[in-house]
Amino acid sequence: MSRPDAVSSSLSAYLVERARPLVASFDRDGLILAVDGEGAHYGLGADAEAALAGLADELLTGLPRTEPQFWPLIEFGQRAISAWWVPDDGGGHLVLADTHDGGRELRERQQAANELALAGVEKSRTIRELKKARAELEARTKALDEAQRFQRRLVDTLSHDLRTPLTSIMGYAGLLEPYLKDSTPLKRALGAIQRNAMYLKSLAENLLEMAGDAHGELVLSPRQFDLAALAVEIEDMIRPMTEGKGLALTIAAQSGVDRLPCFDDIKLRQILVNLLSNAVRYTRQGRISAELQYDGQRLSMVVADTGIGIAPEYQQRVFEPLNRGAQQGKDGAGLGLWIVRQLVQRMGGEISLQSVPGVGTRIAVSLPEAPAESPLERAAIAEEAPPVHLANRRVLVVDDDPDICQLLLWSLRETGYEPEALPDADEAVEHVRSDAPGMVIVDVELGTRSGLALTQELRLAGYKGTIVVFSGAVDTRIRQSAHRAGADAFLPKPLDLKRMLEWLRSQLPQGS
Amino acid sequence: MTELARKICLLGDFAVGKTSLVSRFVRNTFSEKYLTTVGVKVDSRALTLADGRALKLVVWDLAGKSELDSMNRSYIRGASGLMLVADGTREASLRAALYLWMQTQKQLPGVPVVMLVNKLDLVDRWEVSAADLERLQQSLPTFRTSAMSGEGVAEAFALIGERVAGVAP
Repeated sequence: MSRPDAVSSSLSAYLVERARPLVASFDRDGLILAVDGEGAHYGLGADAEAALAGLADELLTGLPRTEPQFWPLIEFGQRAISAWWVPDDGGGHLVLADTHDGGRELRERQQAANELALAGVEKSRTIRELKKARAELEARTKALDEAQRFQRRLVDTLSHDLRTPLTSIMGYAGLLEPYLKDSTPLKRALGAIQRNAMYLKSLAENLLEMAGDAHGELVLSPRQFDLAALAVEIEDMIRPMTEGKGLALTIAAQSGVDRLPCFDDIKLRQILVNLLSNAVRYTRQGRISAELQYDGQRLSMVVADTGIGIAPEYQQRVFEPLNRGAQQGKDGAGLGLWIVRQLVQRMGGEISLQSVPGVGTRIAVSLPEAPAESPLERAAIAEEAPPVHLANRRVLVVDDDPDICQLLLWSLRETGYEPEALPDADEAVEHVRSDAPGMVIVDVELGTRSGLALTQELRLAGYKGTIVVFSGAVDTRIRQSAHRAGADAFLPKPLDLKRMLEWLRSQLPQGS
Repeated sequence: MTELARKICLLGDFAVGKTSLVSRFVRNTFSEKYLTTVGVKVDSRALTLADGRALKLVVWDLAGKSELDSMNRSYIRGASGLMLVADGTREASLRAALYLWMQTQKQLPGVPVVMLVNKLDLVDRWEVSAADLERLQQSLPTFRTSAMSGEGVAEAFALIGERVAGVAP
């Protein structure tokens, strides 16, 4: 059925109205003959004819002008158009028609789709890069962990290897002390040995502390302790150093309340030893003092000296690591005060320094009291040297270091015990089974087996006597492990022989 | 009417920078803004060939597609040469360009072709490797281009001009 003329006419009028056709007619030479339509609608101005001739040339390049052509969608200026070439008598007509919203909608859809696809590409790329970065990070973390473990093992080993000979040096020096008269060259030589051994000891402690801090392993173990006893102990440790230099030393402790203070006393010792060692190192004459004061909430510790002092511009640097040279003189590794500040900060305290060059230095530390540990935890960390009941005076020392064995044998005999020493864990098990000594003293770091494994084995075999373990590793974990293995007491290396002997003397069974 | 004129078509995936390359070549301009092309844009610029003749290069910038559809087939009719465009930061766009080339071969057998691997300014993010480029170079003239800086653009258009005019092999 053919479309009625009236309909075609109406439809044609509608399409023409919408398409706003622009028709440029050309002769057979390509010269423009006429233009029909609104050039301005297509952005054409006075030079519309030239522009249309140029467009026709561009569109028809490479194409025969004798054939009809159709280009459905062309971006032309700001408009999307359709274009036709209609050949006519050797020439032809270029027809442009506005696609109106069709072109705009298509552009918007296409733009959105392309941007979405680009976003997808970018997302995939980002995910790939993230995965790659994560893999690299994991590899680096692994390498770093390995390096840290190696560093930790190295420091542990060094620390232990320093502590073991220090036990011998400090122990034998302590044993010699009563036999030497004051003011003799030998006594002075012994003092030098003791001072330097003490320095090495604090260096080993600081190295271990530094390694622990680097690994975020600084764990505080607060417990109740006797402040006056701590002061005496510190004084005993420091006095050989001050006597050797002819310095006066006073350490005073005062408590304003009846109850015992609750702090990590091992860390307190470390703080005080570092502060006092530093004071001794930089004081040529005069005195050194330490005042410990507990008010029921805070513990203040003030260490003062009449030393060389610190210039104002160096006063903050002394708390930085490896700060050798911040103070005059080159003694020390430059770790002590840095460790002190680290410890004080970890304990939630404050540290301040006042110093006048040529007059002296005063360092004040104020620490808040820590909450006591849970009873369970507290029980796990027994006193280092608790009272024990010994069945007899026979003591077995198990250590593969002959110097330490000799030192302990000598000390124990001096105290009234009947000691024997064995270097090997297996032999020790047999010996305990047959001899049933009242006490076994075991080095944790035995050559072939752990002293803790030996302790455990002795307990499993039914041994009821006292077991004392000592170790170069002094952190809380090793102490807890020792007590879990069945040890009654834990002693840190280097052994404080004087305290140890006092304790052994007090535990000596009467009438055995 | 008597001047030498040749039609070339730019083919490539969307957003590889075809329109930007034409803008750089024809008007020496560049815009950071991405505007997709719908249908085709037709532009032209005169070149002086190595033999001294003038050539009007009519450049058809086809909407980016990974496949040659019927509309684009109608646009490439009469083309004397092709410029394939890929985005160096999207390795997939290189495969798309080669696929488009393959699809034109029946309609435009033996026409000169050059490859433009674009976005040289983002070379630190390129997925297309030097080995890929070396392999490409063995098959067809390949240019590393940046529509942003203009690097490689004039050289690529000059070569396609020489080739479509029969000056260069």
